[in-house]
Amino acid sequence: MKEVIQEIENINNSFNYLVETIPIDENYDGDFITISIKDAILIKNSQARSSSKILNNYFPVNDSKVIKNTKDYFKNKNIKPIFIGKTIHDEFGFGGYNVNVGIDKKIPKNPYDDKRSCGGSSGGCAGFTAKTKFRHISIAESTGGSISTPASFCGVYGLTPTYGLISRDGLISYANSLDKIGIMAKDILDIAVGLEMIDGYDLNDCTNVKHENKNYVDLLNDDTKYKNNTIKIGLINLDENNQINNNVKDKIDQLKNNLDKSNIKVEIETVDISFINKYSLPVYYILSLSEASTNLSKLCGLRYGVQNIPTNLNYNDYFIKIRSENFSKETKRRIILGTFARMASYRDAYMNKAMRVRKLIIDKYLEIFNNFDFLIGPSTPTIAPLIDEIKNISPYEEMLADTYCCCPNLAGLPHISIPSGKDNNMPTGMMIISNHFTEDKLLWLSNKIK
Amino acid sequence: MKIDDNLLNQICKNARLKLTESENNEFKIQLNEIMDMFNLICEVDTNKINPIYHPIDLNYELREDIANENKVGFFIGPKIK
Repeated sequence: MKEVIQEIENINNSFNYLVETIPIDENYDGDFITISIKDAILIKNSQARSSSKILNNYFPVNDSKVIKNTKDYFKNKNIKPIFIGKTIHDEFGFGGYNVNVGIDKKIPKNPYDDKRSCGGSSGGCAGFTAKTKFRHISIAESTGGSISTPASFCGVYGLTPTYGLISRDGLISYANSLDKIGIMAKDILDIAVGLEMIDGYDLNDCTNVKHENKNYVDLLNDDTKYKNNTIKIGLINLDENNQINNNVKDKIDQLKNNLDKSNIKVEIETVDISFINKYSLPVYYILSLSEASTNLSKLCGLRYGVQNIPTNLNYNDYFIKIRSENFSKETKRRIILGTFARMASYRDAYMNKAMRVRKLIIDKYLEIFNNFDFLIGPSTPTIAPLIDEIKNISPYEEMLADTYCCCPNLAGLPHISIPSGKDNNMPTGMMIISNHFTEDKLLWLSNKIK
Repeated sequence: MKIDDNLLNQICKNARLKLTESENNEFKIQLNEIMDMFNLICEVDTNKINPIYHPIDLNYELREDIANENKVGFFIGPKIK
């Protein structure tokens, strides 16, 4: 374990992936798997700041449900889970490039090029997973693309499960109708292990759908369900010439060859999702920021994190002072937009309208999945940008990073980003989307792409 | 729909935030650029569409609605775990 401890220190000194390390027993010498946890997810005895300054010195009294499930999962196995630390991310999940870290935090660097972004918001999870040489699973979270984007930028696998599959108990919320805890890992087997370990119905989370746990690891190589059927794949997010990009095309060719070897037929055609693409981004931001502005109203220096002893301020002025001095600019911007969208005079035109358009978007997806098993396209429109370039773009331009990923997130659909080669020496990702609660099918197909 | 000084002040009051003068000037431009994106949804016909609050159907598991009344007239409920 001394080697693990040294590696964590070396990686963190160079790349800033962890806001906090968790002490490790250096005398343990059995089999192990290291696990990192996005800072927004609670683990007892470690600070949970959601990468912010306002939550400094907030120590949760309980583990989140996913941590409890993980500890239970490994109890009767011959391998020990070693929790190594809390990973940095955009403050409260607010960002697609992991540059919006809390006022007192450092921006993490891309594992392939330290001048480039890791992607956000789960950049620390993706970066550490890519960099560590040990077997590693990262417990991450996605609201609008916070697993797929960093997975794509850092060259790792990132699974976002169906909304409602995994308990959100113990997750510091960004947006309650959008947040999903998921997994990052270096291969599909550990994605399957990760999903098994965090899964487990939770009565305390009223948005957790009652279900039986599946053996995702065993189902990875189980072809029986698919042998006499034809797998139908829809291609999405084509380039300006209406072509699928070369990296994704190469992966699809690999997939076709492997399915052919297993005597499984596949049909591939392009799918028009222009309505979904056009309206998902505004709907996503209106709803997520409305929900986020409500969630963050509890952070005011009263119960959690940063507190001062007010001597001459009334409650209102005290709350204003704490919030204004300790939220980052991006957080303030998002709170303002979210508060606006749900204000009495504007609620119908924005928040309520967005909830209706969301229904239309989901219906379009469900209609597509009546005819297709999977949708495949690039995870992100670009490779990881330079951090210096991001500093010069507007907040609106930064939101465009979520263009592809926000769509399945808005619909609560499970999706995975898998590494799909390089472009200008930087990793690229391919995204596969399937229907609600078909993670076994999604992982099975991903396993066929080698 | 544009966010001007008055509206921005009102929103900040509701949100318990106070912006510096430079933040105020910076945010007005940035927020209105984002508002142009938000306004896209106005063109969608949602006449007969009901709003949804979650992307999937949720069936809430409820406990039995029972409570024990104690001597001083209060109801005792289960402790939240």
